[in-house]
Amino acid sequence: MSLQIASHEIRHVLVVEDNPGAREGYQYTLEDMDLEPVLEMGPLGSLDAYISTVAGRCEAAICDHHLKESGYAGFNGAKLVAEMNSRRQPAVLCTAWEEAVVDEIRLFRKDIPCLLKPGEFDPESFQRALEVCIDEFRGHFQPSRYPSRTLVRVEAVDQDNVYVVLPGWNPQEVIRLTRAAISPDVHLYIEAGARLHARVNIGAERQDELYFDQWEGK
Amino acid sequence: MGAIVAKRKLAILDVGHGNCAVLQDSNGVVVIDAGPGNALEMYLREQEIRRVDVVLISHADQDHLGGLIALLASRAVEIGRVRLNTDSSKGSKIWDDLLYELELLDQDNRLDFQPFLTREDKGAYDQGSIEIKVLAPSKYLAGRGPGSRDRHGRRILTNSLSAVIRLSEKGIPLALFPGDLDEVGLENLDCSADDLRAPLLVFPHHGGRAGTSELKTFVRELCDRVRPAKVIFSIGRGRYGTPLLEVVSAVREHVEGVWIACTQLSEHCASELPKVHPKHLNREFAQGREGRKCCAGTLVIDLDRAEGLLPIHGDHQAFIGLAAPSALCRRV
Repeated sequence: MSLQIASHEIRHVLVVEDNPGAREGYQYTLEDMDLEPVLEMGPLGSLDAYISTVAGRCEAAICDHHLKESGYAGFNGAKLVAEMNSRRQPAVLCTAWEEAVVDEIRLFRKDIPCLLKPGEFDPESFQRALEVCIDEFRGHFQPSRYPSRTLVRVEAVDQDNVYVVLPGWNPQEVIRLTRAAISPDVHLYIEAGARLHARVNIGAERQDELYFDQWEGK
Repeated sequence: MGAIVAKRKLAILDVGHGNCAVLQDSNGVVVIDAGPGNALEMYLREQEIRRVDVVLISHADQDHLGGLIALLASRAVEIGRVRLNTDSSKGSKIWDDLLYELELLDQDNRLDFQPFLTREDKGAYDQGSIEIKVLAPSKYLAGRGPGSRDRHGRRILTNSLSAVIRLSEKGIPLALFPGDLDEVGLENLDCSADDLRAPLLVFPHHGGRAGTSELKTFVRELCDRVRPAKVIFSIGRGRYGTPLLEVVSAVREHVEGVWIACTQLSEHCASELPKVHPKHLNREFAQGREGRKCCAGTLVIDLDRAEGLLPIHGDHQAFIGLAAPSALCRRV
């Protein structure tokens, strides 16, 4: 059996998870969906080397975030999921660490259309997540993911971080961005009080869901 | 003059906590208030509207103008005129943000921005057969400005200066948009009783307290003057606890048979969200749709048909019966 979403026929689903118990959990759920899990036992090496092996073996993926610490992979899940989605292979990140590692995940959030918590993973949510990914490949964004050009006001800066406000989103909430999350092209303009523009999904509810792209400075 | 609009309609958008209405008339598009976030941009994109001829902002609170900052920055549409009253009491960064975006467009002569919106602007904003009448604030009140006092010594707040805008067609009232009008603003309204009447009222301040001490008296006086058949609360679920039970009860008490509709499902009415996507909603963009937070969602009046306000009352009531066990609009 397979899952048909738009032009994507999904039969084999890659499971990238360093915890054998969790891997087994994904396996059972995918089998319940009549899909064929492709379990990655690791170690997976570097992302560059690994990503080239993925294409022929699966049509979609479910992926944990923390993969490096255990030696299971030389990369973390957010990076893999973003890379796969940017290659039009639907991939879903499943992690309980979304808020705890917001800086790391935000770097890749543009190409992570759907992020699930482990407790949310079931056949319905996984299928919906794949649909969201494939919709974005076709340029159809959910309102909470639509990238609008918007005003970014810099409130304060320190050595590592830039604190910004998005007046078009919520002027009462300050967002901390690492400098790495901001295009180097506009670093020159970053100072308290500066106003920049970027593409941001200002339909998002929570600040950990926000991603920033296509920065513009004066 | 804007592009000819294929379908004349008035949409009261679900933007979450905030206000926004879009009038698509035969010769152009008018936006009344622009609540925060990208809801307005998303609605305009969905409706394939590429030019907004007039933007009227009732007052300088972010839940009424945040979406204008977003829309200006997005460059998603061409904007003709923007009118709103300046508010020096705010001294706020968001006010500067708005001016920053307006200036960027003004420098290119792409926008006509004037920092005033008073009741003397008769017919200036009409874009077809819908008459747009600005009933308040008066030049006197706007001239006094927030932070000062009126002729009776009462403190004028930002909300007191809310522009009150009524739409009508061929002299028949259609809807009243009073921004976040408070009791000082209401008492300073200098217009005839007939001017305020409208079958549809978007209730001020989202059904919150609005700095009004005698809330029931305020509700009664407003309802007596407007005599609405339908009252809309433009709210965001989980934000600020609106509408207040006290307000909804007072509206029901003073307006017999009133149809109350909230754009989103208040937590007072349902502690949990519906498990499935509701089917009664209009097709138009609604901020709460994705998260199943809508109650009535975006409300629409098709100006060329006699269907009245959509979603259909019966369908909306059926949804409330299923999804809102403690609905404020039904509590005894």
